[in-house]
Amino acid sequence: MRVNLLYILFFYLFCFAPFLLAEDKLYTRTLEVHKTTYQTFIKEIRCMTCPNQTIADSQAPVALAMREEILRRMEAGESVEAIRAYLVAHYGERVLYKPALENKTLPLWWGPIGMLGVGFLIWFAIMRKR
Amino acid sequence: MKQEKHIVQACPDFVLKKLGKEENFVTLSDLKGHPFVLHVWASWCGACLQEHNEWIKIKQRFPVTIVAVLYRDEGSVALEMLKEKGDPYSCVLEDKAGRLGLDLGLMGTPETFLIDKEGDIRYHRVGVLTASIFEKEVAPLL
Repeated sequence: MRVNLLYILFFYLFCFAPFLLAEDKLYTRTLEVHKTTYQTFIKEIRCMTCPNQTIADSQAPVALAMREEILRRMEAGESVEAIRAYLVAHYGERVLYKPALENKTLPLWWGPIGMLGVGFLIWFAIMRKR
Repeated sequence: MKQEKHIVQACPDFVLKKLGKEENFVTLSDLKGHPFVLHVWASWCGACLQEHNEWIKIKQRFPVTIVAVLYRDEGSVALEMLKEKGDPYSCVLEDKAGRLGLDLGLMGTPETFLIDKEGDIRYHRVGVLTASIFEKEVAPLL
């Protein structure tokens, strides 16, 4: 009886071990994918408490909460786009450290260059008067 | 700091545990029906401790339900603090992971929201609130 049970046990191990190993590999791979995606993504998100930092660098409680929530959503299978959309819906475009180049964000991208241009024109006008 | 006043936006739904009460949860639906103040604070936050006496004054002067949300904090420390300094809150809910904070677009603590009887946010203040600011800006909306 005991020998039969051992045979059955070995049979099941023989049959299912490859699947178990494959499952384990998949799990590890998923974690690795998350790790890279997660580390890249948190560098895109602005800390709302310390706006000159990304949440990757900030230790503010809101930044910690954001990091945990991002990881939780990634582990639940949510895409980066969906998580980004969630954060923008609650915090607006300013939550993105580099806002997307869209019509409404054009002043953010070209504003500094425009101001530099205006400054240059003023300087040029003053120099010509002299 | 950025102030957003007189805004109308639905308050995010939540299910939060009452501080110090196991298995006792409160949802937004439980609180709908009359306006209430939602105050997000933490015992580790210096500005919140500085503001605490103002909330005691507000509670004494205005007949308003003040629901506190304890943000990413140790419940036992907050309970001890409330015992020592007084508890102006109708109930204190724990947002351990800070998920309601994210849904509210929280920038830091303290932050205060006025939720109307329909469950819409009517007022939002980032930073310390005093009894006189409450009288000027929040009381007229009650």
